[in-house]
Amino acid sequence: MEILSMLSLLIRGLSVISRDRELGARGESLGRVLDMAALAIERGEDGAAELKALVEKVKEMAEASRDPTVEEWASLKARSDEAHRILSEVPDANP
Amino acid sequence: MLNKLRTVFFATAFLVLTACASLNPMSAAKTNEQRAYALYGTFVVFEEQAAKLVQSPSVSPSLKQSLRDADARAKPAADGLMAVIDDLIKVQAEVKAGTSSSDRLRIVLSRLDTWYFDTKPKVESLVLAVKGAK
Repeated sequence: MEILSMLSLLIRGLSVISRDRELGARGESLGRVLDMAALAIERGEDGAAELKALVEKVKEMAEASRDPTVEEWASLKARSDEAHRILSEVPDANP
Repeated sequence: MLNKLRTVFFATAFLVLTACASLNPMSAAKTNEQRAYALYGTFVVFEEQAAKLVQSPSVSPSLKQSLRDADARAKPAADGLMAVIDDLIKVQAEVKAGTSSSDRLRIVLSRLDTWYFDTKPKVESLVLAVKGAK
């Protein structure tokens, strides 16, 4: 994942350079494309890091021969409820 | 130049998704409860990703609606799984205190299995919707 962080940083850097005034509108649109690419990488990386953390947690439970605690379940449930609240507020695309 | 950029972009997106696909929390679990936690945790990770995507102005309204609908299908099953977990924790405490039989524990564990297999395809649909939106 470190490679992806570096790639994202590189794309962000290229985006700044491409927005140089001498490149004009073309540079501006290239900058926007680069920003979108960096954003997509960062989002994917974010999800992968969270999944990796979950895998590590389940591995730790398996190695310690223990099941999830009440607090661990409650923490997941609270996160789910908050995400669900945000998603529920999305309106219909064609009302 | 733009074609080269597109190639780099799609190659990177593929790399990120491949990295995601190789991370399967369920495969690390050894007990039914660990497996349920791994599934519910996967659901939460992708539900949070979906919530971030619907807040982004660069995502189209129809895609946002698809994400909302995929979550609406998965959430009741995931909540059902949580309800069985609540029962399981209660019965485990009762068995420990000697006020409940191990037969009751077996029944709740069997319900957990049923809910796990009911929830899994719905979580997978949400995972696919989120990956498709990225």
